[in-house]
Amino acid sequence: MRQYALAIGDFNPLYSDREFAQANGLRDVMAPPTLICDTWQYVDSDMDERGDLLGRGPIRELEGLRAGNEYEFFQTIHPDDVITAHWAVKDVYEKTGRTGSLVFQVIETTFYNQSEELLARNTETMFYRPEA
Amino acid sequence: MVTQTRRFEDIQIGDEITPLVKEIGMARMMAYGAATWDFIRLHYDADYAREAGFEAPFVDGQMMGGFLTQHVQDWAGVGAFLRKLAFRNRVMAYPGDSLTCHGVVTAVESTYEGGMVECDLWIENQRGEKVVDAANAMVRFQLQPGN
Repeated sequence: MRQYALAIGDFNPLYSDREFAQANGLRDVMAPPTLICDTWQYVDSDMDERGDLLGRGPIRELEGLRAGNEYEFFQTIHPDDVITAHWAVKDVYEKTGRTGSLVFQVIETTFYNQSEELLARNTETMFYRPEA
Repeated sequence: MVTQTRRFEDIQIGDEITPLVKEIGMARMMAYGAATWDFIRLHYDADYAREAGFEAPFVDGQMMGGFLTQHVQDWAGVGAFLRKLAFRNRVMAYPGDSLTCHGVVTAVESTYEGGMVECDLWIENQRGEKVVDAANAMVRFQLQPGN
């Protein structure tokens, strides 16, 4: 959590100061909301020479670029939470534009805690240029 | 960094979300990759990125979500809960860029869940290009007793 906050440059004391967090009604410091959506920590695999984790999903032979994300947050997340991520490809479609054809992939990841409460949902759209 | 509380009752449509400036440096990009277990070389290996057709290693687009979260949460203050955040990446960001997060309140509504505020957000670089657009967020505020 501190490493993510440092990377963003976000020194909100809710992420680092337990007394401050508790004085503001939280049971402990909270994770920066997007942390669990952004981390690949749960992918238990080696990586390839591009630095891509091998367990990341079905379209890995092309370099993917990010079109955008939609996050929904349902609860604050704390250091004692054990998080389970469910990962699913929701859609794949092709669009032809000025620069040729692009393949879009929509991935939905849902995150639950140890009590099976929904914490967050991340709908992510990546795009790929098919090899000529 | 913001440690005060903003009152839902004081927020109006058209209010500006206090701008937030983020200077992009290689060290921050590296730290983000390490923090998120993302070791894609396009984000830190200059030779590799150029060979792949990019002018330099570029910022992981998800990092914009972290910046926008800070932007909105700093403005909304302690006690406000970020319910939703959506953004579209438009232009790559590179080391040396200076990014400014902007936003404006578009909807304010009291609901059974709390005081809901929606805002439109965007991120511009130092050349005035929209790096992120369109983006929007929904924040839940606690309602004051008696309302």
